This record gives sequence, C-alpha cells and structure tokens, in this order.
Amino acid sequence: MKVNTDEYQKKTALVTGGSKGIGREVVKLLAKNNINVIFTYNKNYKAAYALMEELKDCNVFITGIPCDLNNQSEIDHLVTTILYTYPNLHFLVNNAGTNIDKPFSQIKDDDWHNVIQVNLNATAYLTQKLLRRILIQQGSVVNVTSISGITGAIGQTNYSAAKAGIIGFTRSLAKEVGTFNVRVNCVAPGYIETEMLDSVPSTNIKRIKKQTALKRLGNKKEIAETILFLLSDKASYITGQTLIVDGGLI
Amino acid sequence: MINQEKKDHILSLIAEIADIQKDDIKDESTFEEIGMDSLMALELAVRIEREFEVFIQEEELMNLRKVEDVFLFVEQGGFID
Repeated sequence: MKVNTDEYQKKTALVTGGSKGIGREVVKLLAKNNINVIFTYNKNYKAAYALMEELKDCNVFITGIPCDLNNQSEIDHLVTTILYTYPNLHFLVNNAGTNIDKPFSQIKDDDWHNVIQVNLNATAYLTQKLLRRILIQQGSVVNVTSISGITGAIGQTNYSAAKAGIIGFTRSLAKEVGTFNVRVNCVAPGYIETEMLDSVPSTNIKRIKKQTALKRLGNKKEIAETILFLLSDKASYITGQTLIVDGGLI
Repeated sequence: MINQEKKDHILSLIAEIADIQKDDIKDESTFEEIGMDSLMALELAVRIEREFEVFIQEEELMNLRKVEDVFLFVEQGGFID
C-alpha cells in the first residue's frame, strides 16, 4: 500500500523491536512512506546498522537505539532520548515481544515475569511516558498482539496472558484518548514467517497451513501494511480495535 | 504579569474543557473546585502546549493545581521555579 506521502511529511514514528522480523518490515515501510523512524533493538546491533544502511537513501531520518525492554534503566534512557531529541512524535508501534514457551506447570517465575514485562509492561510504560507527545501531534498508536491473546495456545500461558492484556489495554486507552483525536489499535498476527517460527516443527507448520483458510503462512510485509493502514488517516474512524491478520485461521 | 490576552485565552480553554462559565473561574481556583478531573487537566495541558508552544514535563504537570499556576507557567515560557 502506498499512501499519500505528503500526509506524512515530517512525521516521526517510534517502532520497538525494529531490527528484525515484523518490526524491521514496519521500519522499512514507514521510511518508504516518508515517515522518520526511530526504532529500538535489543542486542543485534549488526542487524540494526544494516537496516539503517539499507534505508540511507530514503528521504527521512532513521535512528536505531539499543534498548532491552526487560531493563528499566534502558527504557528510561530511551524515553528521555525521545522526549528531548524527538519531541514531535506522531506514531508509536509497540511491536517488541518475546516468548518463553513451556507447559504452564514448568514455567518459572522469571519466565513469567520476563514475558509479561517485555510484551505488556514495557508497552504500557512506554505508551504512558510518550502519550502526551502523541496527543499533542494527534498521532496514533498500534500495539502488536497475537492470535494467542485471543484463542490461547498450548505452552503459551505467559505469552497469551501478556498479549490478551495488550488487547484490554488498547481498548481502554482508546476510550481515554479518543477525545484528543488519537487512535489506539492492535494488530493480531497469526502464523507469520519470522524467526519466531524457527523452533516450530515442520509437521506443525504443515498442519497450521492446512487449518488456515488461505493455506499458507503470512509474511511480514502483510503485517507491516496493516500497521501502516491503522496508523494512517485511512483508518480515521477505527479505534480500540484488534485487527486479526491470520489468513483465516481462527 | 501575564498579559490579558493570554489570560483570557487560558480562561477560555479552562471554561471549555471544564464546561463552566468563564466568569465563574477565579485566579486562585483549584482545578478540583472548578470540577476539573485528571483527564480534563491532561486535555488542558495538551491544548496549552499546542496553542502556546510550551513544553510541559510530566512532573511539571503535577505542579499545576490552580488556575494561577497555569498563568505563571505560560508567562514563564514553560518553566515553574
């Protein structure tokens, strides 16, 4: 989808978890639509630098900031950097996520807290700290959740709880900030060809494709396009919603 | 001292957001007294930042409790000592 680029001139987005997977596609798509992008990455600085290099000819600024969303001081540093360096923030894409899949009986406290922290707590904290910037710019927020947060999934009690939490958070925040003409939505991807699927056995992948109406996995660009749509004015009357992008799986 | 034009502008914003008459607002009125809840205070902060081009930090927002605090804040260009 190519949107009216004039609309985005000088607008700035923050994308968490932007160096790989869906986040990387989001960064690329936003940049190609003339949106300045600040993205966070955890440890993979090579991937982050490669992405900045890849996008150097786009007529926007692209900045990667290292931030472990499991580390409060790093999150606070990110917030300070954004507030003082890029105060004209329009868009926030809370994309970063992590999973530690195990049967519930085997989940340790750390496994639980780590997944809730990165997926849910960091999303809420960052949004809270940057919200007023977005209210002033009349921007938009998209949170990346998962179909696991809607249907549940074996071995993903922590991940599903966090992703379901994001959906509730989104609905409530949308009601709070609607008066500012700011929209908050979720995208819930199904099974997408990312590194996250590397650990899934091929027989399971075959079964998933069979159960999906479109008989295939999704690709990262399809999720990025959906996120761009929800950020854009094309979705101007959509807020508090969770858009499921799963090829007809659920 | 804040000039009358800015003061009127701020009072109009407060009256609009709190849905009260401008004449009912006194300089020393607290937000609570004029029925301004925390969401309304947030809306006021956003409108002030937009319309007066000042930057209100979170901790400063907490210090704005009275109408006259807002006058002072805008007059000082976004700083409270």
